[in-house]
Amino acid sequence: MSAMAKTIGLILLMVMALATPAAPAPPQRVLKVAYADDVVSFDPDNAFLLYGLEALRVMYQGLVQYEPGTTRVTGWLAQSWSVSPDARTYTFRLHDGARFHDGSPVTAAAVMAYFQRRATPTLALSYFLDNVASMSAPDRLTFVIRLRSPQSTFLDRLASPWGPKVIGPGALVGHAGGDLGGSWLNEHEDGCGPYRLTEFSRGYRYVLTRDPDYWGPRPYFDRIEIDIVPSISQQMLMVRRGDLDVMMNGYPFDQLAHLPPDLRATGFDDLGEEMALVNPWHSLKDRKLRWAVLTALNPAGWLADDFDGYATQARSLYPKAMIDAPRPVVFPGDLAAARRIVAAHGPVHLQIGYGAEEGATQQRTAELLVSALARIGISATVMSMPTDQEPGLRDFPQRAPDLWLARNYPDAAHPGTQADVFFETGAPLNLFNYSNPSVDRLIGAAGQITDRAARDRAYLAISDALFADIAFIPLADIKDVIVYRADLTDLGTRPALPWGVDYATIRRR
Amino acid sequence: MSPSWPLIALKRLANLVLVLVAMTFVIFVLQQVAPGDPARAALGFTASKASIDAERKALELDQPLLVRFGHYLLRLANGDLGVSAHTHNPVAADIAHFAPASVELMGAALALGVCLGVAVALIPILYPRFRFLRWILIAVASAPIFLTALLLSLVFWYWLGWLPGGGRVTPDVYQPGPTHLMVLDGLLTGHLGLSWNALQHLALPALTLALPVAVSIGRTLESSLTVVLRQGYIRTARAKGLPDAVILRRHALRNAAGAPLSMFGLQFALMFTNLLIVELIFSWPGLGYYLVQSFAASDLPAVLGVALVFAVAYLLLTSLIEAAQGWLDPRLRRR
Amino acid sequence: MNAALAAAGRRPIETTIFAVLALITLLALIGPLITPADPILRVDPPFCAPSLAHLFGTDDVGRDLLSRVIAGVQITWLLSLLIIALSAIVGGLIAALGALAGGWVDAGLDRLTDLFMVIPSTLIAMAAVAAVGPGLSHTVGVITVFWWPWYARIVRAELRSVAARPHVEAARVAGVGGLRLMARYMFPAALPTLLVTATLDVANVILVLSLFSFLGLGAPPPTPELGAMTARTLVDLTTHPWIPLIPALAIFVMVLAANLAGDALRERMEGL
Repeated sequence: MSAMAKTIGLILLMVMALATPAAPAPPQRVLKVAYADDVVSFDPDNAFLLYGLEALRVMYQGLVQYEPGTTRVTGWLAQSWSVSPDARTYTFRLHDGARFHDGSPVTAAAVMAYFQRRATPTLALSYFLDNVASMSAPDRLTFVIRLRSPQSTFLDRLASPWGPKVIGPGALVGHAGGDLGGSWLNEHEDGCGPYRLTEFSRGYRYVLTRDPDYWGPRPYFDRIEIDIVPSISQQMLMVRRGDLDVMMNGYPFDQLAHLPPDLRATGFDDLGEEMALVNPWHSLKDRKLRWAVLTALNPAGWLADDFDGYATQARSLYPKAMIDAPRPVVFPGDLAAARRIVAAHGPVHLQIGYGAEEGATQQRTAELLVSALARIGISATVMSMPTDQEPGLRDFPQRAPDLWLARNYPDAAHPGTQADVFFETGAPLNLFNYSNPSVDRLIGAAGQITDRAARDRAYLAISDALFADIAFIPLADIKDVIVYRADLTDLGTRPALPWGVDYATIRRR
Repeated sequence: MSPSWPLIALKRLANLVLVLVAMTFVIFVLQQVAPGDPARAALGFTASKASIDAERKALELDQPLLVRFGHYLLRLANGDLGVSAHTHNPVAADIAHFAPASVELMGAALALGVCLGVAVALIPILYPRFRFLRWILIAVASAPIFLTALLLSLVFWYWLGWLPGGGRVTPDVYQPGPTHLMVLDGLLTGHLGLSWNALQHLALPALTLALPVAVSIGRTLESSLTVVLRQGYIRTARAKGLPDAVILRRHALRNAAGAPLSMFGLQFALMFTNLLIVELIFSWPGLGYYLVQSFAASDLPAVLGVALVFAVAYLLLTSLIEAAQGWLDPRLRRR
Repeated sequence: MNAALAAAGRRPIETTIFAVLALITLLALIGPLITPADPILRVDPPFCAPSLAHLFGTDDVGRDLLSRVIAGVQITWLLSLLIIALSAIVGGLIAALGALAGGWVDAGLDRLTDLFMVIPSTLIAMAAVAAVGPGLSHTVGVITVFWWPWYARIVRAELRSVAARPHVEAARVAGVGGLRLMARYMFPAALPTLLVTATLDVANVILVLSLFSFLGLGAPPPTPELGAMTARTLVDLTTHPWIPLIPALAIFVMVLAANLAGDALRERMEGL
């Protein structure tokens, strides 16, 4: 046979193969979303990143959760709960009929077994249960936690997207391995939520499939397909062409005004506040210089360029959704005075750092700040640091950047979780070792207050003190923007759930 | 005297091992110098000291460099590439997971590049009015790979919609197969639709990667051919009345192939950086993507694993090329 | 002078190419002194389309893109020339050293060259940049580290072939010593090939430099590096295409000029 005939034959063969109708598949409702990066783990006790939280909360369930659109705690696996008068004993009454994906029932004993696993110190998120003295399961549906001391943030921690979410005995016992099931749970799940993890292909995609035996209300979508698409520009083009239904993070702000008619954007306030931490150990030792820098960093000068109306100036060191301060912080406005201070000081060069995982948005903000600082005569460069080097900042403050830009998320909506992560002496994200005993005392006192208004006032006083010290600079409350196909509704966003929609409630019109 | 092949092979193997050990050591030292804490990267800021300490112990971070290196080499000799600090999977498993995508992409790109390169070299020789092709080639060679990737993606995917813009295959069409090379799997399992779909997804990234290869091989081959075609024996063949095509095939190409073969080896080394960028832009889940992730997480075992795989592949390829050159030109064979 | 002009007139394309090269070098040297705006200062709202006020528009931060591209061209062009110069010097010296010493020194240096050529260069670069932090000098150093082996190889081969030439043989027979032989006879004879290779290489180095910059391995922001400028603004490709495309095109123009010049030079040397 001649080469020509062979080629034609091959082409005909392929055409026939394509023309043959595939076996008819049942019409499935599929939601397509994308992550820009793999999750490290789907283990609810080890997953400390921002990716995958919204998937975790439909595979697993915790005792309590936040209501959609609010920071109010409501029941989840627990249908009700009570707190003892001494604020140390929490008694939860579980729903009857909840089941894990392997069919075993959710009982108080199973919940306790899971909580004991969560408290194991080798797990990344074990510190949530640091203050737990003991736990018990007096009957099948009652679970009791006794704390060592009163902790006003405890219930919020349980509702946190990183909070405890019950893993079933199938995994805890059956796949324990040598590490409490840690390696198995990285890429598999055993929860009691409406979706099961049916495919985990690292670097490629994850698939969540609706559990037909789920004990609660049936969600709309049968499958959630999560593709890994590292390139944000690719994700954008995909959502514009309809290859993705939702883009949960990263759509450039300046293009939100020009969305095609079949896409919508919604912005909600989340708990991530844009902040700058000041390194007082190196070039910014001089308080007057810090004051000059503060003048230059006034968000009024650059916020509109950066976020095109999707951000407002931060009113305090707490995100707007956490505390909406009545009297916002006031930046000094005398640029001429700032310039004089810098001129008198001599040549100043600052380094602005941020974590590499915050990528594109922080880089732009940082470069706008470079431009702002240049206006008062300070030259600056920008440095992005890989995640693993960030803890090194506190060990070598002389080599660390002078300003650290971050949009860190506290664990939950209670202001105490913001304070004890950033502002307390020795706090994990207190990157430049800021230590002020009077602030620590204020934090301790505020933690005791139960009346919400009084509590907020107390925490705001802390914010004022820190601002006066020019240690932490509140910059902006940036809205969390979700771009989605116009026929989707009931997204179920929550301030405490960054970059996410609620797969259990989202549906097509 | 004919060369003793077993001895040569043994020498080459020893050379390979020495080079790999040295390279591993270099990367090890660089990672040690890097100011990072892989334990913290794996567990996050808020993890307790107990968890961090346990992780540091697991990663052997507190042992001296030479001890860690020694342990690594010992495990390597047993075929164990260690456990990734980031994904917590064995590195060998991760590499096996990501490698087929890169193998398929690079294989397609190299094959396409060679074919295009040969075509590009032969056309101006056989049809002299196509000499202007040279300028187009130089233009293509001058474009940085991210520019060609962007333009191809924009034109053929976003505007014309002829080809997909990312991923290896449309999920509904996907069927797992024995080799994990989608095109091959489709043919082996009889699902031609899978092969066709995979080919469509392969088209743009492979073309992007193939262009630099095609251009450099093409130009090298063309200049090499031009030199050869001026030789005396070619004139004789022409005088004898042999048609051009036969002359090319029987005499010229064989003698001109030496330089392009070296260029081919060189292109493979340069292709590595290009692969990272193409995999990023086209969402291709291969070793390049895995490497970028591992670097961001200071995942030393993963970085070493990928480095070793690439080094081995490169060394094997250069050995093959040298053998091919020896076969083509007996004068080059070692004694 | 007249003869040169006449020669230039006979080869208009070549002349144009070298004129473009000269222009780029001139731009690289004095460009940043004549930019309309400071490349790192925000001067107008971001995403302004090209206009009379801003010939290339403004970028995503509000900086004048023309100024940034000029500054970027300076960085890329001058750094590439620096890398090639360093690589040629280091590679040439090492090859000369090997040829001079001979024996196991030569074999050892050859093995060393082998090692550098085999290591996946991007990997080492990424590791090195992670280790010492981003910076222009680091990038130059790292790229030079794996660029010199090619030159060493070429010079070594050239020295070998030069050693067999009659005038070198004659000098050796006449008793000219090793170092002097190398310095006055052999190395100068290898120089033309070295120079041609270096010229042809300019395009490659510019491309590699821009690829590294694209992957974030270059100087830290706000330094205007062309590859980084494109990488950062990919999201704006379909709405404000000039922002990612113009820096990429600037790279393209530089590489094209270098390639064409190299080609012209090679044709001249090969007498085609």
